[in-house]
Amino acid sequence: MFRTLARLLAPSPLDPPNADGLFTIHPLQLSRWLEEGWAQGGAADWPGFDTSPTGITPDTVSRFQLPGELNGGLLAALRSGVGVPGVFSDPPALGTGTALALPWDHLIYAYLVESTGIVEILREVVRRYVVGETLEAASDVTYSWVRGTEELFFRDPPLFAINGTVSALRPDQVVNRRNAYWRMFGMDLPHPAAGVEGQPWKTDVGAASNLRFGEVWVELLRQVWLAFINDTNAVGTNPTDAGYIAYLCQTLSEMMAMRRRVGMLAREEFGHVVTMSWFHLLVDTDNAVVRDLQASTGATGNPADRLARIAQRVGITPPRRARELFELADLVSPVLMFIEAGRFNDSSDAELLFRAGSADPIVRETMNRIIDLWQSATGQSLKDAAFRVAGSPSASPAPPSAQPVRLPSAGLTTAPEAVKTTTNGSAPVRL
Amino acid sequence: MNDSQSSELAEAIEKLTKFLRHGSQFPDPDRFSSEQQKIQRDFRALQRGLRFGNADGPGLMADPVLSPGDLTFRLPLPAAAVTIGGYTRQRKKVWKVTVAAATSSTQNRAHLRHPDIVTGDVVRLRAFDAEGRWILIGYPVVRETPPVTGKAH
Repeated sequence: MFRTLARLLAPSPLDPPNADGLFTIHPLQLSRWLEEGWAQGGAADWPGFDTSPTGITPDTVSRFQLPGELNGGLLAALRSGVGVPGVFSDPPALGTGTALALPWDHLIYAYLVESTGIVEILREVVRRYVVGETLEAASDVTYSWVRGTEELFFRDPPLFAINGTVSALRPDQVVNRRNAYWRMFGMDLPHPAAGVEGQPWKTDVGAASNLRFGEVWVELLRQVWLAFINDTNAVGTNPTDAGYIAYLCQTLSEMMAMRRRVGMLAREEFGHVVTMSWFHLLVDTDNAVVRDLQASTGATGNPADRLARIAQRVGITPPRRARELFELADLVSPVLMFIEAGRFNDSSDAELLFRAGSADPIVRETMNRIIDLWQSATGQSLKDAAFRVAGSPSASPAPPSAQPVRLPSAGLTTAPEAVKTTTNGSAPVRL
Repeated sequence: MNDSQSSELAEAIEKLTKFLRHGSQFPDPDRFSSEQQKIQRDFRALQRGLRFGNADGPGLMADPVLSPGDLTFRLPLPAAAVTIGGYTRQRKKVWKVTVAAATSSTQNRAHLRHPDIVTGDVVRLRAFDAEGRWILIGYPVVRETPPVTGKAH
């Protein structure tokens, strides 16, 4: 959401995102803008999703939004005025004035971005700016960013805010985010939660976490790769099975739908996704904050390099796979949104995942890149014909079957429980 | 061999290749169906929307004012708009009329009149083209009394 807003603030779509401008917008305006963005409907009002039975539904959006979008009602009276940084612009706000709603990413986006350790690193940056002078004095933009980050993400949100998922009952946003990832994907972040004892995000979730999600997702990637390399196979056996790929998509779709019933996890997803988009935006470009932190990487730099340099300033070592994780976040999000909406549940539709079929097969190209990056980020070999998902019998020297006998079951590794806290920079902390 | 002959030869080889692979030259089984192309188009639109916002999306209706039996705009609806509907906040359809029928009495595409048009719980308007594609959206000001004259305001 915030990365899109930074692009909308740029003079033209060809210009780089105006992160500096966004960081100088008052946090109260940004908070109101999120309210407006939610009320617009996101994917619930996006063509192709408006009739989807799963995901963010119009009913869910309607139930949680402020009422009164017309004729001076409550929502109409609390406009953000986001348009030009530093002033209150007449409504409609950027991103909410056009006909289509501004979609926000799938929860997987938040999971993958947070897996880079970006929250821990930037929390330490903000903490240092607000409690002392261990970092050099910075520009106005940087102090605006520090204020916005602290007010929007490291304190309780305004009362009744759409992203207000912190309360006396679930006071820690770090735990709350991990809880959502665990319930939806059955996955933990790869680094331990600093300052949190045990794994409270798994407490009282019941037996309803999608523990099989990761395994089925990996099996889907493996099957798509098999189909991809056999797409132009004109002779010999072809292990491609579009029906099985569609079945895997349907399985994932049903898993996510179960966790989404009656709007469960909807506000949580929105809040976590906008949080990560704020942090992701910081390392997306060489903006004023990055320059103040001496983390510029030039025009060809990437978010992971900037994050690594920022982390170095505060004595933290980010995961080595941040480069892949940032790129994966943007790619996997729309794919999972389509899978969740059941757009690949039919075998002919599932062919889009691996077949060329047109001059610009964007779904296939996206899946191909996801497979490359996922393999690199996780170390799981998806392209090895003898590869077996966890829980299956180990690969044998005999020619492997293209499919497992049954769908993969649970067996994921969990995050380490060891508690680590960041230091004041005297010793590196490895995430 | 000139360019024309070279092109014909390439075309013949391509047809032969298709025949060998699929047993037929037509239809080309490698091409996506219209439904597959629609999914691909939607995917591309979503991917772009997630990164760049919604500038390429449907247009916005110009200042719609909704009252019982009556709907006016500051600017006329485009010719591509064939049907228009009123929807609740939950995006449930309340009414839907053809633009032609609703402008038959006013002869003005900025002023629609039709007995099916009601205010109800309508907070959104959507206009569709002949193929049912969603091309415009509007957020109406709701008035319980229709304008006295047939003029668009």
